[in-house]
Amino acid sequence: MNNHPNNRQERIFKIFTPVRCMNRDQLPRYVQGNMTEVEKHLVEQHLVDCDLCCAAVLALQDLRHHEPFERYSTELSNFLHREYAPPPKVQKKQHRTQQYARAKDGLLSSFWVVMFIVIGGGSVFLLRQHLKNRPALMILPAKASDAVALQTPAVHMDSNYHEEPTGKPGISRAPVAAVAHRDTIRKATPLRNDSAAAVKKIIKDTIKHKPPTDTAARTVAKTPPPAPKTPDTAQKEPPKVAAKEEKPKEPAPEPAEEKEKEKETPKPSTPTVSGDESLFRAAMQYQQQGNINEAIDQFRKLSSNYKYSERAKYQLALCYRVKGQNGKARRLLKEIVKMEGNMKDKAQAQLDNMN
Amino acid sequence: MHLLLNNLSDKELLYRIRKLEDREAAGVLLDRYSHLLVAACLPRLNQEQRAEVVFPAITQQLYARFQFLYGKVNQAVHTLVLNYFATGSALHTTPYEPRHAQAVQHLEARVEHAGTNPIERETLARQLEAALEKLDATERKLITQFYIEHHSLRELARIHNSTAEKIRNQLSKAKKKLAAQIDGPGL
Repeated sequence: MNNHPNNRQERIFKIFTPVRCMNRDQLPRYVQGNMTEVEKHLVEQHLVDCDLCCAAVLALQDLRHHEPFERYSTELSNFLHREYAPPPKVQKKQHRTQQYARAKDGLLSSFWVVMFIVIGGGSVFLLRQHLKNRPALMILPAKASDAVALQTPAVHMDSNYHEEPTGKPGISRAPVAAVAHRDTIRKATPLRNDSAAAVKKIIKDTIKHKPPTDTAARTVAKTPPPAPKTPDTAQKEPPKVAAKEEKPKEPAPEPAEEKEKEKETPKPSTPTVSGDESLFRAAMQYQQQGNINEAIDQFRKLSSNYKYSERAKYQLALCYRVKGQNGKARRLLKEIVKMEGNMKDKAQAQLDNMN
Repeated sequence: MHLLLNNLSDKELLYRIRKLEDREAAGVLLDRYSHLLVAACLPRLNQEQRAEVVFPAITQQLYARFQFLYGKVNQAVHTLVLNYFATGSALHTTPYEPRHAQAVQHLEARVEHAGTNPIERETLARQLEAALEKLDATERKLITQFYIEHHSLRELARIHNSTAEKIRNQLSKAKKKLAAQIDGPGL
């Protein structure tokens, strides 16, 4: 049987087949000879390779070592179990997770408090901004009588200026602002009234007709409230308000009746603006609103005036350029350049741009 | 966890100690060899080298040795015990295995990897037979009687009129020669 080739091959591999060291049970059994032949041969195969097991077997062959071996091996095993025991990781982990959860909760709560404060503050700020900038129509119901009373003269003014282009002598002339929106702000500010005769027209000049926008709302808010009305006006007021409420957004000039009514209502804060200046402003207004033809008419009228001719020609040239009549615009700009006034540089710049 | 670690081989436990710094795995490995350590140390214990001092010191040194150990644990334990009692409590390490020990380990790995692959096994068996033929007649006879005919060490000692320890040493030397022949550069 031992000479069988397959069996021999299997057994020849056993020369280099590693066998485990003897365990705690096998070592005394091998020394005492309490093993089967197969197990004994396996142990001896290992003993050939293992110096440690061989030393242990040799040591245990001395009977004096049996008792200390049992004692020391047990003690050493217990010592190793205690010394190399795993640390109580679970408790530490739980503790850590609790700490982590607490820290996380604290962070989250503080985050939400901060977010609440930021959102609350932001909403209050936005609400304030909204209340400041809310449209005029939102204010109208509260101060309907004031708004109506103030908006009406603007209508008159525009219609008036077609009829009275030239200014009256003796009226103080305030400097005219070139920029349009500046004009609107200035128009809103009350000016001193020099003479009782100019009061009505100045009112017409200062308060212009505008579509109900935010700026309009601001101007309405800034204008001082009308003076206490006379008994006559008080009597006439209800129908007037009713008439105004019927057409609150109408931008077109109002009929002459309203003009008369407006003249009757005294305005304490009437600005002092000359006729030419107001004409110039009205023309600028038309230009801004896109009513180029009207603006051209107004500027033409003003171009004959010595004081306003340069500015009026300049604006006229701009109007012509907008309309596409570049030839006229160029001619006017060249005239301005020849005049060598304040607007020369601007006119030259515009000419350069057009070229 | 301890029970699971008990089922792992020495290599796997060493891997855990090296890579994961698993102190529990080191405890399991030390416990696996503790009885052999005690038995090997017993003849050397005396009044100066008391068990209470020797065993904790050796286990501590072994734990340090396991951190960078790749070879066999039993050899490392035996070497450390010899060094401890020869030169005191200083830590001694053998970074390089002797060549014949490496050859034995390589051959054992080849046999293990061959598994049930008939081609590989046939090749390896032919090499082993060839190397066996090159050995001395006494060594060849000893190996044949021990590994193939399954005689025990005591029987062989009786046959050859020697002691079991001497027979064991002869077998060990013959095995290393065999491994060196197969694992050598010529083959």
